[in-house]
Amino acid sequence: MKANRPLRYRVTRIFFILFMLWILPPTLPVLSTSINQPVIFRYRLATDPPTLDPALSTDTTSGTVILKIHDGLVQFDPETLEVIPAVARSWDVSPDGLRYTFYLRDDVRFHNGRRVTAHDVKTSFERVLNPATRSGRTFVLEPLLGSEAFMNRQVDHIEGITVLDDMTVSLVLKEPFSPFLAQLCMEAASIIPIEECGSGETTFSSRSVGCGPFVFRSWKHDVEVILEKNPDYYGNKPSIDRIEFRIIQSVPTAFEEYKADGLDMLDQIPTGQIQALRKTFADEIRIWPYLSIYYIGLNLDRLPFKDNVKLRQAMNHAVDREKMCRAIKEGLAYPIAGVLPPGIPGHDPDLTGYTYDPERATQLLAEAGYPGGEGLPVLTLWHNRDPRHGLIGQCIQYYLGRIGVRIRLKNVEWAAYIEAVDEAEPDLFRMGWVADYPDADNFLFTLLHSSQFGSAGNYARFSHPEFDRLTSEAKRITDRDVRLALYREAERIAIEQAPWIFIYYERELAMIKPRWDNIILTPQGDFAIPLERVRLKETRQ
Amino acid sequence: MGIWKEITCSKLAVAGMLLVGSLIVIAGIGPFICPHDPFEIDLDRVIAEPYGPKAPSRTHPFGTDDLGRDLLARIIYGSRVSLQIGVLAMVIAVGIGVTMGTLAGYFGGWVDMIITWLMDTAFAFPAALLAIAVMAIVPNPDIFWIFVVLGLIGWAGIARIVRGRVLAVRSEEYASAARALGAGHVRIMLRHILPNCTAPLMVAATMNVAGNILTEAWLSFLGLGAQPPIPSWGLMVTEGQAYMSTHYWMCLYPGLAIALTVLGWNLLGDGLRDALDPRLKDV
Amino acid sequence: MTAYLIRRLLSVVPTIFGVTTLIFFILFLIPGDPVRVMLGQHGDPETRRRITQELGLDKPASVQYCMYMTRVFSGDLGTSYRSGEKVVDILMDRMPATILLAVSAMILSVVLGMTAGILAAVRQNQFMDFLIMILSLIGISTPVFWLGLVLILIFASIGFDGSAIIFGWLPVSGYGDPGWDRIRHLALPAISLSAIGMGYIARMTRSSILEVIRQDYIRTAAAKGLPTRLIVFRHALRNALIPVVTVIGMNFAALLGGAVATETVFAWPGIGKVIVDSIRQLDAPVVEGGVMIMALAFILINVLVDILYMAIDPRIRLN
Repeated sequence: MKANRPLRYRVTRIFFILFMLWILPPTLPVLSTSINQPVIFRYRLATDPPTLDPALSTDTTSGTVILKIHDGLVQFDPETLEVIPAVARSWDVSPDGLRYTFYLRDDVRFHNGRRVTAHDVKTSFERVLNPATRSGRTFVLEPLLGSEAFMNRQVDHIEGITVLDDMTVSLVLKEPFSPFLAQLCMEAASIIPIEECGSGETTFSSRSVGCGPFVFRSWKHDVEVILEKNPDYYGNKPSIDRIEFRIIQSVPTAFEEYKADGLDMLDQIPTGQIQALRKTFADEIRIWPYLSIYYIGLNLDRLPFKDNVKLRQAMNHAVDREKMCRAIKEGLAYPIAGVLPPGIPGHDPDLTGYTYDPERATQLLAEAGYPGGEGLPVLTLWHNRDPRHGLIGQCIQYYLGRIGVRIRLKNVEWAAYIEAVDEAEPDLFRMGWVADYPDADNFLFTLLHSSQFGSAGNYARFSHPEFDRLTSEAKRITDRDVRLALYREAERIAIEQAPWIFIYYERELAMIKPRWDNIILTPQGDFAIPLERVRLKETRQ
Repeated sequence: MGIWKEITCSKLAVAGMLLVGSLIVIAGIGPFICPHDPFEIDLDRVIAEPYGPKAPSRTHPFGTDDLGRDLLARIIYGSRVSLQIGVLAMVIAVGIGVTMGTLAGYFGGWVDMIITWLMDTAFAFPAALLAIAVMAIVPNPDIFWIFVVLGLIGWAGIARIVRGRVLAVRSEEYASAARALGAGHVRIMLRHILPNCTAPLMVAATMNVAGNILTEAWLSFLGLGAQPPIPSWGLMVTEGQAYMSTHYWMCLYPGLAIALTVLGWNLLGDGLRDALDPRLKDV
Repeated sequence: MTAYLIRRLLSVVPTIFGVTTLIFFILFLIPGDPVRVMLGQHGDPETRRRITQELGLDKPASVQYCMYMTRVFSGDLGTSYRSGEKVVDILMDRMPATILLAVSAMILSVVLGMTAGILAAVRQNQFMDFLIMILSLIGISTPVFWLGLVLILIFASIGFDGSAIIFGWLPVSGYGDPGWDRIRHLALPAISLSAIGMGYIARMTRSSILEVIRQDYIRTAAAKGLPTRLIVFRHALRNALIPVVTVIGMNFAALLGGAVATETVFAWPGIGKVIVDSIRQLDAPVVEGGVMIMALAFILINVLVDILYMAIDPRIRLN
């Protein structure tokens, strides 16, 4: 018996430990709630931020964190999206629209304590355009005079940037470009302390130092990024002491975490539950307008869509976007008539666009030379891997199938997808766009001007001389009403020519615990919500 | 037949056969009997109150999904997909595995070294990369390529088993005798060596079918498996997981279908092993 | 023994060489471009060309491959295309979490799996045996991510009204702070990840014990009148361990790399997820580095298994 006792004993002990593990968790004391505890806001990120370097950021996950740490010369007012002062207290623009002079605040300090001067503007902008930085956002500063020569390493400074004195800097453009100020609000134009970029290294790879409302504290990859409030912030001091960005990829998991009070804000909700949640969580669900559109691009470079407007129109009439919005987007999306979503100056609420009219679609299909779809090959609709795009694709396949157009779905990884779309490989492809800055230029010119073919934004390869003329001219005009009139005209052409199947524009949605107050739901999307303004409701205690 | 008797003796093996048998029957005739079309989208049904996928009812015993399609019809049609995924991928894995394993075991030497090296490489190779690569490289990535991916993931396991078995058999007397009689390599391999591998191979193949179905579900979860609108169970569970806490049926029923089917194949594999392995006889 | 170990460890070189070479060229074959992915949705072609040049990705594949291999053999795994971070840092950052999860899942599945297997063997063909075998089969028949979601629903989920749906004891996801909090966060992922191993080990333990029991020396022991339990623990278990150890070895390697689904469901910062994410972004240096570490771990575990064989059965000689 001696031999088997220890083993048996050990087994018993292991069972005991397991049993304790099982039984202990609920009996553990709940965290004591003392009044002096720091105010923490826990925010969900869907992926580990690819970078915290403002010059390298090209995605909203990185942007979410970077916007809290960094400030630029100017910023968007979160509600009206007008350009308002940030590090620059004021600025003036020369009458020809070429020279911008910025007057900096003298009380702005980087998180390392150093004062921000006009020289930092120069070094920060040079860093973005420096090829060694490998920034994907050089276009933000490319309007500057002499940017090409600098990027090609022909000269060691940018001609268009002049430091007039410690607090004044002037920027000169190659040609008048009215959205320039709006572009300066993007992360890439943040003012950074160059000495913090590390010796020899050109990037902030694992931390970030700026002059914004929050200070970078720590980053545990795939777990969390922690920021603390900047007590020396020049603007309104944040009310929350700490932001914890928790990285949770799975939406159902994040939702469970929110319900269990592990998150204060949730940027995404498991599909199909919004209607139910709207009833139960009426005071936590926030829905607000968002500057985004979603469309199915048609390849105008190739048959059958090339030069066949009737066919393109037929496809637009065949799809019941109204019903798709309600069924798939749960009423959070609205059928779009044209290119510009509401919130973008120039949006025309009276546009009707294409109605769901299968008979008209059938008729147009016949007029296009393909009665009942006869003569049309099986067309391939590409979408990148995401359940939402899959659902939309299946609906398009279904609706087009009903007028006789056969669609094959092709689901590919984003990397291969974007490359194929760049090269105009798919017959049809899904695409969405969220405004970089709230201007019609960022939709009509960026997505449909013939100079923007391929990866610059015009994936459908739409080319129309009159449209090109209107959108190019609008870029140079500073008078708001004249510009908007040009954009309205251009949008009408785009609708009539139907380079896309127009689908919907979206509303942004988030869940926020009711104890928080002063949350500004900006039309830029949840990633830009200014957390420095958020505070606890003053009710209890 | 002896094996048959052995198998039918074990309750678990019979249960496995029943499960696999009913899967085959459902896959065979189910789609002809089912009153609903698994591909018929009905957005009106989704919009109707209460909003969303509809709970199980008399007309739709398993409920409907997020595009208003009948879930039962999709599961029934999915049994075909599941059977294809399991069996065809297994055929590919067995095809490659047996060839490689036999060559390695029979010839030994540098052939064996290279194939063993290939096997090691295959074990260490990330399955997700394989799936992404195959689906991205082929021009028309339909479901057939999922079988290929699964086959490429599974072959090394089969090859290892076959190689071990061939090594054992090669030195047996009848193989030497055949060689002495002047039989060619191919003939010896096909006639004398392979038949001696059938027992472990059958077990491994059955288990491989079960493994393939699970791997496909896993790939679907990562978004690398079958493509919509194909009603693969793995895809359906993945679609349904977002609805887990409010519309349980979208995730539960396809999940159960996977679990039962895999269970069936595993039980069958177990039964086969017990029946074919002489060491376990007369328990 | 030492010679054997050295030889085994050296055998890792051709495997790693094979895997990295294969991966390098496959990443080349896959349509798509890491620089294009970096640029986000709209990428200016000129910017793209410039970054490609800076990263040296404009050179032919063979040149890049040679450059890469030279660097690897001088001990430098390179930097991520995407974040500019050192690959070593990226991987080392995730290593502790990966090992913690894999080891705990392994311990769980070995302890519970073997206990269940022994129990089933001792009570062969009784209800207990039947129950354990069915449970272990269910363990290996359930998709891991599905099990994970179910576990969250049972043990962590909080309902709309703020009360627990079933138990609501454990945290839903995350890595937790070191100490007790970490253990609480670890519980659900470890349990869901251990299910498959548990099933396999239980089945393997049962059948190898049954096999051993039928052999002569055990029959002799039984004939001598020794109690069954004593026979099982003193004689049968040791000999039954060998196939079990094999399963453990194979399973552990799978746990290290194959935990992506679990890591995703529970937001666990493991290495599997980094590799898959990097594959999707075609971030070759990170993929290569990650797979290299996996292959190394795979071989090391196999060596460990061999040593275990020897410890269990002194008759086994390594050669």
